[in-house]
Amino acid sequence: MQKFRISLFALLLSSAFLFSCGGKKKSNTETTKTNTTTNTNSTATQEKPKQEEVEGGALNKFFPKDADGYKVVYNQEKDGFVQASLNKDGKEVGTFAVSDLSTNMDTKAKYKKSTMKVAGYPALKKGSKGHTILVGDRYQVSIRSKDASFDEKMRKAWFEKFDLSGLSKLK
Amino acid sequence: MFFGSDDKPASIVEAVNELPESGVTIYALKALDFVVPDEWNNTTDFDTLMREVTGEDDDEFLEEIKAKAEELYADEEEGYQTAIKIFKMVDTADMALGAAAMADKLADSVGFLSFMKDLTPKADTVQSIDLAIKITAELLAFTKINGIPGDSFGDFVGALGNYAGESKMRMAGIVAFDGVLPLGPDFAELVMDKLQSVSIDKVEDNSVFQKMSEYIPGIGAAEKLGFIKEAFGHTKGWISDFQSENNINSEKIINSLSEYISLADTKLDYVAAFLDASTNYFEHTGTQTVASRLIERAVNEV
Repeated sequence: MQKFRISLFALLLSSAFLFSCGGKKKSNTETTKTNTTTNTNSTATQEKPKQEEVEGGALNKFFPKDADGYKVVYNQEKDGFVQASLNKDGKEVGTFAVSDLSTNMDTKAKYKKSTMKVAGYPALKKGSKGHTILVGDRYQVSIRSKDASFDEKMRKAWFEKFDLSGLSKLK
Repeated sequence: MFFGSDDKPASIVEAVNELPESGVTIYALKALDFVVPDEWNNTTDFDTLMREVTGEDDDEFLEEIKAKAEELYADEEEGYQTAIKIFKMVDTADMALGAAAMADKLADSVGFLSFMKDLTPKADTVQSIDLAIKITAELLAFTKINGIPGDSFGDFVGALGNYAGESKMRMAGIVAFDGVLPLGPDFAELVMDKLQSVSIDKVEDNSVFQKMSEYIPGIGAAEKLGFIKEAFGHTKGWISDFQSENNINSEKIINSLSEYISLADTKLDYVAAFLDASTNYFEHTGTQTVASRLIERAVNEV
């Protein structure tokens, strides 16, 4: 590996100085901008829920529970969207997500072309590693593979482990 | 380079595509490969990152994912932009501090060693506050990305164990470059002690604190310091375990760094000061983290 030379250091440090000047200016602007839009006291309340979509927290209870060495680890919870990893022996083998399509008509429209049913719901293949189903004409449940051990057959089977009936009734 | 470029956040695609492929930041991170062997390969192209994260290779499908990721990033309320700002802010502050300390000497054609002499290592208290704020920034960015309350300490510490790739590399950077090198092997205890005894004035004077202050929950510096203490207190045990499990010690760091950067027999705190002034590893890996999380979400929403 080529090592640095003195001249390169000088160049980098000049750059560092120049960028730092830019950085300072930026920060001041950001402070002004952010103060008008964010709550200074709590980072938890900065994102206002969108009225049309359900809160992410309302979707968690429909996810599969830990079982047979599989562990469901939640990693994103936004308005109208929850995502979790499915881990086995500490390794991520798949991902689960539920999204409220109330404000995502493009995705919802894709189901008009669905010719497949999984767990009794209209289903679509998404790329080479995912399947989704449309539940209650509103919620998309997505299962994707992250490891070869978790194949298409497994994906289709895991849809059944969601509380799809409960989800279909969620308003 | 991405940092300090303008006031408007770039699109996430631009942010990733503008990340550097080489430079001190990249060499410094590569030197920590022993912590995350072959897990981080510095992807600086959004399309490549999409393929890596999703395992997909159909161009049409990937274009849909990209459009969704951009749409999600553009919505400020989703929190991804704030996460990038937080990652960026901690590093920018470091760059300013380090660069200002040596600015007067830049015109001189100094040799490497004499140049290193012009660096000013931070006092232990300042370094301790900076490190604790970096941990706090990691917590806050994590909560922004994941959409959970800012004080979700338990969730954060639980998730640290699942950190991989660039996120794990960022934590290795904190431990190695902001902990072990400037403060020694027992840095975690030292930082906690300094946080317990530091005066509010010192915290208010700290340039990283000033920049990050608006994002840290609490009214006034005392409450915000309380939050920082709590964040670091919850994380300290994980940090020490991570340090010992991965055998992150100064000898190993210096040996590894020497493969990429000529360090001669430089004192550790000077190497730390140099890295502090010349790298933006937090922003660099933070951008990769936010982009990866966005792609993971987007592929489930299309």
